[in-house]
Amino acid sequence: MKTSTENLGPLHLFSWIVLFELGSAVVIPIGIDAKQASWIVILLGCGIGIVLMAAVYGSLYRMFPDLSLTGYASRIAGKGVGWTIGFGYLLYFLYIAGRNTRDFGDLLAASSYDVTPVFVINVCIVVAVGYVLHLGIEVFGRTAFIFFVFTGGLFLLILVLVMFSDMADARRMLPVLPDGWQPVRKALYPTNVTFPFGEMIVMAMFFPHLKQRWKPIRIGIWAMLLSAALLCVAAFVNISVLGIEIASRTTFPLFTSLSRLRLAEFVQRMDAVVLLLLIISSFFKIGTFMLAAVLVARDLFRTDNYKTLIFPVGLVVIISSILMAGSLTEHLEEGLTIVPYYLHLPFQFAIPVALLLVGWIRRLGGNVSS
Amino acid sequence: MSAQTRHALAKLSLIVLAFLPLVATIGCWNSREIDKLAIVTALSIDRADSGGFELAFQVVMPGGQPHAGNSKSDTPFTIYGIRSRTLFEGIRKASKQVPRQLFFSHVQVVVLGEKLAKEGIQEVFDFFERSHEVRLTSLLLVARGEEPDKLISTLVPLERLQANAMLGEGILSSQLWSETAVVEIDDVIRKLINPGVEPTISGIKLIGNDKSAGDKKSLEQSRPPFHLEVSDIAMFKDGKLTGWFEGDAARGLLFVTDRIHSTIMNLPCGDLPEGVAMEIIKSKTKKEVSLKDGRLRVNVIVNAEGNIGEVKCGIPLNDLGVLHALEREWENAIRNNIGLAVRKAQQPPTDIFGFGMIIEQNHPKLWKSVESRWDSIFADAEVNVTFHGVIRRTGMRGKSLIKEQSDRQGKGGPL
Repeated sequence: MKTSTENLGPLHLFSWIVLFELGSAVVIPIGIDAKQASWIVILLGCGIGIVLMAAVYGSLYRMFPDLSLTGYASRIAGKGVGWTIGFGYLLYFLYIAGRNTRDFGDLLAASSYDVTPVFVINVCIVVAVGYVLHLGIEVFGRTAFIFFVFTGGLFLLILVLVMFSDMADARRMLPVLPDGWQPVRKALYPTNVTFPFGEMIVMAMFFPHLKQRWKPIRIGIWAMLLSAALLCVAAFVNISVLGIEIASRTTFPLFTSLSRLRLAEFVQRMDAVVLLLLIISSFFKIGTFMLAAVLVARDLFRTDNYKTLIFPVGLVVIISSILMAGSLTEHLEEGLTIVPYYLHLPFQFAIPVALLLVGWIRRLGGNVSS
Repeated sequence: MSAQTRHALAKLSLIVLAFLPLVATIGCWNSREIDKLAIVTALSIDRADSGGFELAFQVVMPGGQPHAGNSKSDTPFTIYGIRSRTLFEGIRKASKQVPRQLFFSHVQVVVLGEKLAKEGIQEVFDFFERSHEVRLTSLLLVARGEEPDKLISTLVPLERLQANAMLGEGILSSQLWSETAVVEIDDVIRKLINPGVEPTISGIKLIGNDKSAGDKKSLEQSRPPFHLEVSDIAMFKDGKLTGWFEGDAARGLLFVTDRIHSTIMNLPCGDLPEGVAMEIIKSKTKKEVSLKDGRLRVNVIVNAEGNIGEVKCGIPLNDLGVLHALEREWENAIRNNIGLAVRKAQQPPTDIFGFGMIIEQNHPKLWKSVESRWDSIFADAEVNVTFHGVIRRTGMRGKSLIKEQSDRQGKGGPL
């Protein structure tokens, strides 16, 4: 099935991927178990993500430039198996969209909306996401570009604050490897090889929707590098302002560090900046997974207009975001012990690699034409 | 769709549109109007005899604030005291006494009681970290020799808001006098956790007749019978208060930890032991820490600039040799201060200078191997002081009037 091409420019895709990668990762500490070495974890995670992107998702894309993930899954694995794989991805994308919505609601509730029901917060963001998706992929990409510029401004503001206020002490970044390489390895596998950079698998749903003149894989890699750099900046801000003693225990470190920062007497309590960052990046994270779920559902159930699917998908995301866990602790526990092993690793690594191998073998046999 | 239904739909959507702006006026879910809040400006925590906490909240009186001069008959703030097992329990239990909800975002000062400090301060801080309403930037003080609730109920001249007075004294004296430092809650939390450094907190005490401290009448005299004074530095080991730094020792401590902003040091001049007042205008300290054969060697490098502010003897300050001699005296004074501080911290061994943290930052492996024995290594440390001091200016006069006077009388100066 040939999909319609929407007019999404390279800069739009770039901004979209950067915001998608920042989503929740910028506010939830990544690799903080490795203490001061968390920036190494981020860079290594990004490196592995880039290899995966270039070697696996990229090869699949080059093999079938007109097809999305579900499209080439059924082309490679056959109708029945392909449909099942596609259905698996539908559930995966829905669940991750729900998880991100839950993260978003819980963080907002914990940091400032202490008595607002999480349900209300989640409904607000999903309704906003659903509205923009309803306007189409192109609008989503253009929105991403506007907010990308805005986010860049916020990061600059944060950097200036850290540079010029005396609250930050760069020596807190030492020692570089406080406990050797072991904690780095532990933080990397399985959590941070998959989150956030492995989640680029979702982009395989959108590549055929893009203009073909430029190379989406290359743009994706540059965007991943930029988002890794921004995540390192966030890690540096957290550790140099709070110290690892506090940063490693906070649920929402960037929020805490910005509430600490003061510039002169009048620039203070900049934590609202972080809430903006959380809302913007979560918007694109949730939006990306919801859009991917919508597109998978359209391919599987053969509806012509994907926009009719936005409402049911949004409903599922809202309800699952509330019902998936009773407490924040349960939610985080699932995110650490179940999701990486049973969801991320199969859907980000195993299935794409298997598809690629089978695709190669069948192409050698001359069974598959692209 | 008939014209009628379309008409009804249009009507319906207009009605919906008319109500839509209401959504924007909702505001926060738990909107609390300011006249329903009791704004807490200072908080004191002590250990109750029964084992729990003894809390006191300083709450601003509404309407009594804007003009310091208005002749209100009520006090500018009021104190609520409560006894509880946990901090959070106490805060909510206080609603039995307070007609409004206590609001903690503007806590300026937290005063810890000495009794609590001696038993351990760790358990106090979890609530401060966990709550999103309390800020980690509040100034932390330890009440020396007095119940902390009495200190926060003291009425003070000049500032109607007593918490502002404590904050002002804390900040100003750290900048102008440098025998106390501004210590915020998160600084203490970091040092409690890090095994390579121990926390210090400045003290606050009541000087004078403490009986009238909360009595508004005492403010109606030009000379109130009491004063609040931010002074002395408490050192903690494993969260327990182990001693107080006073005067020169406190200043030595701040020299080592690089927290001197400005201070006045009296240097000997001729036969007057404190004849020259030297103003330090700039001071920067670096530390070189090394561990050789199990012995800790620390080189404290102080770079300072100063001005002469006052001379009580006749020395010719326009003579460069005299200035150099004064710089050497200055060096001795600083060595002496630092020596006092180091000896005080070594008994009982409490690494308030963070020498262990410096080792950890630069040689993490070495630190792992000595961490368990750090107390004895620190107690045995050899601290060297390298001092580079420059006297920049001598004020608006060169030769002092005493020198001029003695010259005219034909007597040589004592130097």
